[in-house]
Amino acid sequence: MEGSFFVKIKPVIDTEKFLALHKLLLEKEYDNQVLLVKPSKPVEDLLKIIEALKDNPSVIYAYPNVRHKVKIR
Amino acid sequence: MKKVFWLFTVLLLSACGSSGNNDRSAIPHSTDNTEPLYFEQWAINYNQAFYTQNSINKDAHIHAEKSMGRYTGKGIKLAVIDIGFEVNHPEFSKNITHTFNSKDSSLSVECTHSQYCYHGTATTGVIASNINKQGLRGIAPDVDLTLIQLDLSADYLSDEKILNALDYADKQGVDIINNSWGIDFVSPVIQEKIDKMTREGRGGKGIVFVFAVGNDGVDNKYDISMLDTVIGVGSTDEGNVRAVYSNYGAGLDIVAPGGGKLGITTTNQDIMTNTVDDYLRAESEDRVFNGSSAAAAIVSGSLALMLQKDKNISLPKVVNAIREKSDKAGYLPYVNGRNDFYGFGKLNVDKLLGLSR
Repeated sequence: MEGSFFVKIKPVIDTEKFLALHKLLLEKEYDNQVLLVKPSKPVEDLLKIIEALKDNPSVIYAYPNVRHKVKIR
Repeated sequence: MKKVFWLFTVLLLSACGSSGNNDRSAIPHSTDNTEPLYFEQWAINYNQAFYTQNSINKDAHIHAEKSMGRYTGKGIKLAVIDIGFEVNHPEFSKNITHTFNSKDSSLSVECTHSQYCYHGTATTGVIASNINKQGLRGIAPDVDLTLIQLDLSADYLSDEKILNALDYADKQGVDIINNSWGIDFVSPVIQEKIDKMTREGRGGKGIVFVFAVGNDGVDNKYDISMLDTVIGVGSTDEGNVRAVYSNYGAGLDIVAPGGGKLGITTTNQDIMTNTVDDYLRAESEDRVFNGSSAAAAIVSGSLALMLQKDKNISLPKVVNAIREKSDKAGYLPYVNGRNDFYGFGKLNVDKLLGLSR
């Protein structure tokens, strides 16, 4: 798992305010308000932050930027 | 489940009214093509002498003679996502419109640090090699290429890198994406992105995703080819049956030549002499290009011809054509037109484009 995660927020939510409120740094914004973010400070348990965000009413989903086993075919 | 999805979508759109032997000197070169290696491109071209000499089943090719005679992929934007590319290769360099490296967002897509660096150049050559009398003929020699490097030399790749690659292709407005690679688990962000591109891309007609199903000879239950909206491609060999290495399962939609003992003639990474010796040949003691990667590239190139013929065709209609117009190859029964080892059957391009029955 990378030190970042994806969060998709509802269209009516202000991205900057949301990130500031949760002390998250924006790494990249994709379409549909899909954000790649990381905590503003290094944290030991990234998953706890992600779990907390899952219960946030502004959040559609949140989960880690996982790494996949990849293969040429 | 995958079948149900496509059937439903097609019905919905219809209701809406939308429209061995190394003695090559004994084999005469094809007379209907000027490319010196065309005679050994057995996957796309029936050359009687080459077929006889190598005991190739007469139907092992993709039956594309009429289609390739009329269409060249002109006006179609095709992205290839792969490990890296020889962007100066004379067979397709002039087709390249965009390059993108998903690792660092640079324009550099050359690969130098893996034994598989040739792979992207090989898949691209199958699709787009020019008619230039230099080597071989691609299926869609006039297609516009967007080449996207994904660091497939790494054992693991993050969602972020994959999403970057898809996002770039999306922003370029490509029509088709060839993916001769795979991951065995698809996270929601990747699935959502692919679903969106196949639904909203290409002006709402849907970007065509082609994925190789892999070469482990197993049922790949959790593979990315299982996604409802992508076209999963497996391999046949020169006997016109499923190649023993080709993965199978519910995600498989179609099979196409990927090679067996014989490889798929194509472009190679290292251009040393700028002669036919630089190519990956069908017969080689050194290295041949075969696998579902090659089969996927053949399907992608063929679909470029299909989209050139009808730029307004929707993705569900493309898939429906694959379902209905593929040859029922092999010895296994097809239930409702499909089985897990051949999908809906073997690619027949002229039938797919309505140029033969």
